[in-house]
Amino acid sequence: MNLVSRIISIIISVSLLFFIFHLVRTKKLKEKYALGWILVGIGIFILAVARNLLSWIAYILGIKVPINAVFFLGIIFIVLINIHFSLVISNLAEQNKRIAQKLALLEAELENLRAKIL
Amino acid sequence: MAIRKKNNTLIIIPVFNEELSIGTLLESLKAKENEADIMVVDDGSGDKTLDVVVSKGVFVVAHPFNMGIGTSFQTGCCFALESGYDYIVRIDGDGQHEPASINDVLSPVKSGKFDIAIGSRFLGASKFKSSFMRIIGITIIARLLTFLTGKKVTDPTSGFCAMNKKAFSFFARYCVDDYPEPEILIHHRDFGITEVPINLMKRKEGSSSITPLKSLYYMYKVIFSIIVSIFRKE
Repeated sequence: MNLVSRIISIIISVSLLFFIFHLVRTKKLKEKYALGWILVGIGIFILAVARNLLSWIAYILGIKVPINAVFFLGIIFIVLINIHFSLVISNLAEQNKRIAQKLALLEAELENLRAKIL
Repeated sequence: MAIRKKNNTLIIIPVFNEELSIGTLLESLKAKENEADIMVVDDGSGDKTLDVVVSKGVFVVAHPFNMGIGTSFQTGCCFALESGYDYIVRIDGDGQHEPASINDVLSPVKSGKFDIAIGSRFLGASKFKSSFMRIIGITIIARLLTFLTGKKVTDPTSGFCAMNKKAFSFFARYCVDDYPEPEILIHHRDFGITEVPINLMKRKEGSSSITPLKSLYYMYKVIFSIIVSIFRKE
């Protein structure tokens, strides 16, 4: 990486970390879901600061142009985080369904009790 | 089982899959004739916990699914607030907390000197043994909180505590996940907090749900939320 892309990467990672921190501070983002993004921010920062780390990773992975290693790792991360979100959404959908069922059953029970009393 | 408010103190027991130990705890609580009502919050247990609690004739609120110990405690606080209780005691359902210590934890709050009393496993003659990693983790969190609040905190992750209405209405309002809310310590300095030494009984049944990876994740969540709450406005 040359100096310009290095500086841009540092700015991006620091901004990302501040943004995530701000979201948690204002209670818009839960600590649980901040972890992944904090790790990404730190990762980008380390890659930008450590001079030969990216070239070394590219070499290990057998990638000729180091910047392609960034795309490769980036895509892997996006796939993983999307699977994670799919799991979270599935869980929320299931819980939502169960709450609705429980509410409907309670309403029916209340109606029955009311009918018995009146 | 319905509850009829007889006392001004409510014992809240959050449980999750404690079918083996909850029965014994409820027995000893009922035998002790505390001047307190008892409430169990079942956090969506998959085992027979709920049946055991019902068979003991104790009032229980059951979550439809697991939402974490913080949410269970919050459910208890909401109930205590709505039912007009003045004091609450929170005790773990795994049988590690001695029901005999309830009065020790409750008396500093009932005397009006403090808003919150936490049963600490590290004070006094208690011999609390745990894994090296957990002790390190608890120590780091305790030191951080002591440094930030200027109050001596030895056991911030203890699940044994007593609170008055001022304190538990805070927990009823604010949503927490599965760690103690550090904000109450950092932003609400007018809350009087004290620690009381307690003995920890050895876990008789079941096993702790904490694995090394989970403790690391727990550490991240607690420390990160402490740091964030420093920058949060009241």
